[in-house]
Amino acid sequence: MNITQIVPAELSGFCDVATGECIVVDATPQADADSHHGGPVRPEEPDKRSAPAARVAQVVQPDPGRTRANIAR
Amino acid sequence: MTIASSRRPTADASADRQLQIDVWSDLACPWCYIGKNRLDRAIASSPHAEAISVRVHSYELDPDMPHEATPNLELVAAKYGLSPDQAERMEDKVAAIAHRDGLPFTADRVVANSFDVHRVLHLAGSAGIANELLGVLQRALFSGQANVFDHAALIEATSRLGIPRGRVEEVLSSDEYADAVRADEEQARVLGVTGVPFTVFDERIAIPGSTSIGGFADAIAQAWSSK
Repeated sequence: MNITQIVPAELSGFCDVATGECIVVDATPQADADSHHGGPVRPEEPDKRSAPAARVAQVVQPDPGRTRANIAR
Repeated sequence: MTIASSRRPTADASADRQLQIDVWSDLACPWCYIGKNRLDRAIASSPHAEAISVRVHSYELDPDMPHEATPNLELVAAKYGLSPDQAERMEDKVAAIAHRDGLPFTADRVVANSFDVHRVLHLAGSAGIANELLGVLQRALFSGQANVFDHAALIEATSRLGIPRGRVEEVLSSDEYADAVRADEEQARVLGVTGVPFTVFDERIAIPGSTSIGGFADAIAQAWSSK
């Protein structure tokens, strides 16, 4: 396995393997930024939202001409 | 452990073009539960669904967690010095997201050491049903229906999917698949994983957390188109 790209998708949340803390980064009104399953309530963490979580050789930006709407499903 | 979706003959399959998705997760991780559901839906909506397989990998968020089940809210409150109300309000945030996705989710569940669960998932992987078993266990746990860390419940859930009860008991009474769990975790460390779920498409494109169905679908499309 050789990870060469981190897809720059907006994250809804994740659990931090270092602390066990589960972070909510979903920015919808019903689920404003918060931490869960541990950790104090904290504001949205844009640094964590976009933080690469793996050793990455190259981060490739998405094709600007390609949107969800035109992805064949 | 590899879990191939059931395959019907398609143009993609006949061309022997396949896409593998590797996912590191822990049973106790609510985002792994939400993320798995979204990834499964993204796969189902893909025109290449029949050619996609999912491989489940182990990751323990807290390897030192006691084996005895502890009420989740009690654990969160004690670990972070919160009142029960504060702990419950935190759960409410994730519960709202899970409910929006149509998933049962309650704060009234338990947590415990997940090592044995991971070993049984590897057993299920040898039968090609790890992803299915993970979904069953997640739903039972997060709905509050069962303590699936408990061996009896784990044996019951696994045997219902067709693995002989005696075989599950044999694994749980030994250290079978312990090395496989540790190997998965070592691979995660080598990859530099800092958050779960951690999803890798075609062994090269990663999403370090749970994203939307569209986000997962985008990654599938990108991985497929660049194969």
